Formats: sequence, structure tokens, C-alpha cells
Amino acid sequence: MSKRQWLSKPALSYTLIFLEECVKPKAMWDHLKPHMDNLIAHFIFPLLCHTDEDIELFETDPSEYLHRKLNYYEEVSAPDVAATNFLVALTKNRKKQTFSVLSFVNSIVSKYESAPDDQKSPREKEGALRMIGSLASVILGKKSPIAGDVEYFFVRHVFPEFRSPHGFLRARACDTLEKFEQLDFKDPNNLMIVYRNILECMTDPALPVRVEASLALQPLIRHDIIRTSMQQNIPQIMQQLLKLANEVDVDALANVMEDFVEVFSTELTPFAVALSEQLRDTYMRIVSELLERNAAKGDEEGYGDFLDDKSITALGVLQTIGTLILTLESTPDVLLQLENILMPVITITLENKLYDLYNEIFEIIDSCTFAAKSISPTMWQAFELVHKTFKAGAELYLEGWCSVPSALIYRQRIAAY
Amino acid sequence: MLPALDNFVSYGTDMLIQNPAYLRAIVGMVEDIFRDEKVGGVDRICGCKLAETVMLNLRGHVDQYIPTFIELAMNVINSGDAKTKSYRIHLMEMVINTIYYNPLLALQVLESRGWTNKFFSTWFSSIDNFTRVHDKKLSIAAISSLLTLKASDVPASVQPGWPRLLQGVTRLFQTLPAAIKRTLFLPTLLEHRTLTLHRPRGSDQGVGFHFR
Repeated sequence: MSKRQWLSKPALSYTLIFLEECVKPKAMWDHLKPHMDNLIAHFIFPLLCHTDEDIELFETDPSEYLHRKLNYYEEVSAPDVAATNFLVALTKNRKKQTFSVLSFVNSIVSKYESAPDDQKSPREKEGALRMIGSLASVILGKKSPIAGDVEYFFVRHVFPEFRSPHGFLRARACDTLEKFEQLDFKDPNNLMIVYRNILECMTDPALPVRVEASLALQPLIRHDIIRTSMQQNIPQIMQQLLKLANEVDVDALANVMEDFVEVFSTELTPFAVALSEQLRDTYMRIVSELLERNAAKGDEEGYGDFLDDKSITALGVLQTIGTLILTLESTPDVLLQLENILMPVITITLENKLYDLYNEIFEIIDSCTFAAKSISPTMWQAFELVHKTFKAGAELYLEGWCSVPSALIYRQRIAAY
Repeated sequence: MLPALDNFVSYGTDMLIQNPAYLRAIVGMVEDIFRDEKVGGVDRICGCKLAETVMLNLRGHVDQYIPTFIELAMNVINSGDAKTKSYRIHLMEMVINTIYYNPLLALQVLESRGWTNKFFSTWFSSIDNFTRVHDKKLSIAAISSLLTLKASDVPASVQPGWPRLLQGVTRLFQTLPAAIKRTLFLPTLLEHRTLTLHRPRGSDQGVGFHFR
């Protein structure tokens, strides 16, 4: 049954969706069960492996590659997504099948391990890791008998791929680690190996590897040993994240930065000025690109399709700035510098009526003025802008005003009574 | 936007006094909120809050805007357009704030428009709807300032009802401890607030505002 007949992508997807529905009802499952091994090896697995096109894309257009891998949900009829969903449904409802899937994965990774270098198939290995990654929640589930074996699997089959000669395998190793973020490593040495490798992957020559490594680093900070080690490196790590954010519009990166700014606020305070300058530059770049594109599209499109990758990334950057400001409440002099640095951010957003970003901008103004407990000349400039903005169409963004409870208004005023 | 504007008023008081254009801009926004037909009741509450901030922070400096605030609020109260309890309370508090700001001036404005009786009966008939700590404190403060007026300054139209002030303030004092207690029991809501607000700024009474 392997690749004898061509099927279109939607046909493949809907076949898989049908099969997924057959897992639960007993009458259907009885028919499906005898074919499972065959289906997994020759139908599901090939769909999870990279196509030639994927591999080419990894080299020639890494940002498009990332976009496809990270925003897969945008594609309605992606057979690989349907295959993943099928696997999850299968292993959740028919626990025993988990073992057949895993032994299949095992056969692939063992074959890869034992084969001489010139006969290894990195494509299969990558597919196998993707397969096991999609089952992370089942494998690490509460009653899972195999949860304890995952660490060994990582040591043996994932760790080596951090240094694979194939970029897409290095990226997959990082991604597998992220998928298994709930895994509690028993050997602290293994955690340190993970950490070192992730840091190294963050400077990888291939863009997708750097992005996947950054995304994998975020959940790792829940481990004390990694958080402690990161305290020394966090300025450099933030540098790399910022650099990445300028290379590719992946909104998840902004979330990582925001998280780090919050967790490592003490370590980052000395770098707050430099950090906010870079965040500003990133924001200004994204917004200029947005404006250029909107101008090219002409007026007829209006603001309708505004919330795309770029605006979401811009939003993420603003949120990171907002978080950074909140960590600086105790250092008003730094804050004052920040206000000056951030003024262009406020100006460009309000003057170009980027409505989707207003709330974050108002929040930044709020945080600056609240943390400083006084209004600087810069912030009075901001006030004039806010007023102008308000006059230009209040009804459009009054909404949301009141969702923010004005708690603090009264806290300060009660004393007056 | 409101929290930001509130900061400008609370922390920029001196500048607002020195620079009437800024103050006019703030008051203008309150007016716009009330005059723009596209702004609904919930959003108009923001206008009430902004007006309140102005009056509380700029005591003695915004006399010329007191008639405006009273008119904006009373026009809605009189028209019966305020559909939600929360909105009605905020409108009344806009007027109550003018009383707390300057009772004599506020009464003069109410009296000159023939609204005194209407306002006081609306206020005292809904005194039990003033449930938040802030509502109660504000009303208590306003009643106290009314009680300092000389008898000759109290308009004849409301003199028969004057003893009701004492009844009202007693009622408010009686229910205040329970209201304070309620806000102290709100750590879970606080968490929620931190999430939506993104600002871990400790507990305070304002949290009660979620309850409406």
C-alpha cells in the first residue's frame, strides 16, 4: 500500500480524519486494528517525514520553513497534522497501541544508530523523533509505565542529534526537548548537557535551529539548576533572542523574551537601557515594514487583515517592553531614560493609528507614569499625543478602558478623605 | 487608556494647574465621552471615573468645570437612559464628587437648574446600592461636607429632607465594615487582576470594583 497511488493532500487528510474517528467505536476498531502496524509504518510515518521540498526549504528559505513548521494549524488540510492527530487519538484511546508505535520508533532510531554513516537516513530519524514528540503528553502521562524510560531515550537518541551534521535534525532535537518539557530529568548531569547543547544550538548557523533552541530554552527555566546557570548568561541570551527577533518574525520568540525579562529581572536591570534600545529598534523595524506593506496595498484594504505575523510579533515586543518597565519600579532614574528611548515607539504607533497596538502602548504609558510617580516632560509629550489620538476617534478604542479596574485610583485617593 | 490618563492627573497635578490647556484637554475628554453617541454606557463609566480623578486631585482648582460635570451626569440621570445599576451609581458619584469637592458650589449649580430635589431623592433612595468601600467612603465624605454648611446656605427645597442625611450616613457607616471585610477576602480576585493587568501591585480596596 505504500505510495502506489497518488492522493491529494485534502484526500489524505480526510482519510486520516476518518480513521481517527474509527479508533474509538469498537465496531470500527475491530476492522482497523489488524492493519495498524502497516498503517503506522507505511502511511503515518512517511507523512511525518520531511519531503524533498521541506529539506530544500530548510536551506533556501529558512523563515518560510519555520513558518510552515510553527504555524501548521493555519493549513486546514495538512496531512502531517492529521497524521499527528490520529496518533494522539490512537494512543490515548488504545493504550496498547502506544507500544507498537514506540517499538516502531525504536526500530527506526536503532537502525539509524547502528547503520554506518553513509547509510544513515536522517530523514527517517527526524520523522521518528517527530513521531515520539507528538506523543509526549501520552508518554509522560500520569499512569504511563514508560515515563521513566524517556530520559534514557533522550541520552541515547536525542542528545547526539544536537550535533548532527543535518540542520533539520538539530532543529528536531531541540523541538523534541521542547515537546517533552514536562520530563523531569533524574540525572542533573543530563540537564546540564541539555543546557549546554541548547545554548550552542542558539548560535547554530541554521536559523531554524536557533529558533527551535530558543523556544526549547523557555520551559527549561523551571529547573533550578538551569535557572541558576542562566543568571550568568542572561544578557547574552537576550542579545541572541533580540538578534533572532530581527531575523525572523516568530511571535513565540517575543513570549520567550517577555518570560525571561520577568524571571531574570534582577540580572537584567543593569542592561535595561541597552535592552530597551534594542527592543525599540526591533519594534521600529517591524512597524516600518508593516506600514510600508499597508501603503503598498493601498487604502481600500483598510485595517481589516491587520493581525498577521508581523503585528503579533510587534505586539509581543511591546509586551516585553511593558514587562521590562514593571521590573524597574525601584530605579526611577533608569525609568526616565527608558521613557526617552521609548518615545518613538509611542509616537509611531499613535501617529499611524495602529489600533491593534494601542492597548499595549497605553499600558506602557501607564507603567512609566505609575512607576515614576511623576510625569516627566517626555511623558507630557506622550499626553499630547494621547489627547490627539483621542480626539481623532474616541469611540474606537474606549473599549477596554474599563476592563482595567482602576484599582489604584482609589488606593491613592482614600487618604484624601 | 484610562489608567494612563489617571496617572497624568494624579502625578501631574502641578502641571495641570500651571497649564490650563492640559486640564482643558482632560475635561474635554470627559465631555467627549458623554457627547459621542457611539460611546455606550459601560464606556461612559470611564468618563465618570476620569471626572472623579480630576475633582479628587485638583481640589480648589477646577471650580469652573463643576457645572459641566454636574450637567453631564444629571442629563443622563434625568433622561433615564442609564440602564445598568453600575452606570447609575457612577453617574450619581460624579455629582457626589462635586459635593465633596465644594458643597456650596455644587448646591448652587443643582439649585439653579432645579435638580436639587431630584438628585437627593435619587441618591438616598438607592443608598443600599452603594456597595463598594469606595462608594460608601465617598458618600460619607460628601454628606460630612454637606453637614458643615450653614443652615442659611441649604436650599429651602431640600431643608425638610435634611435629617435624611444623618440616616443615610448612619446606614453607610453601619455597612462599611462588612464592605471592607469583603474586599479583604479577595485574594483570588487579586490574582485574576494581576493576570489581566499585568501588574503585581499589591492589594487594595479598588479590587471590589470587580464585583459590579
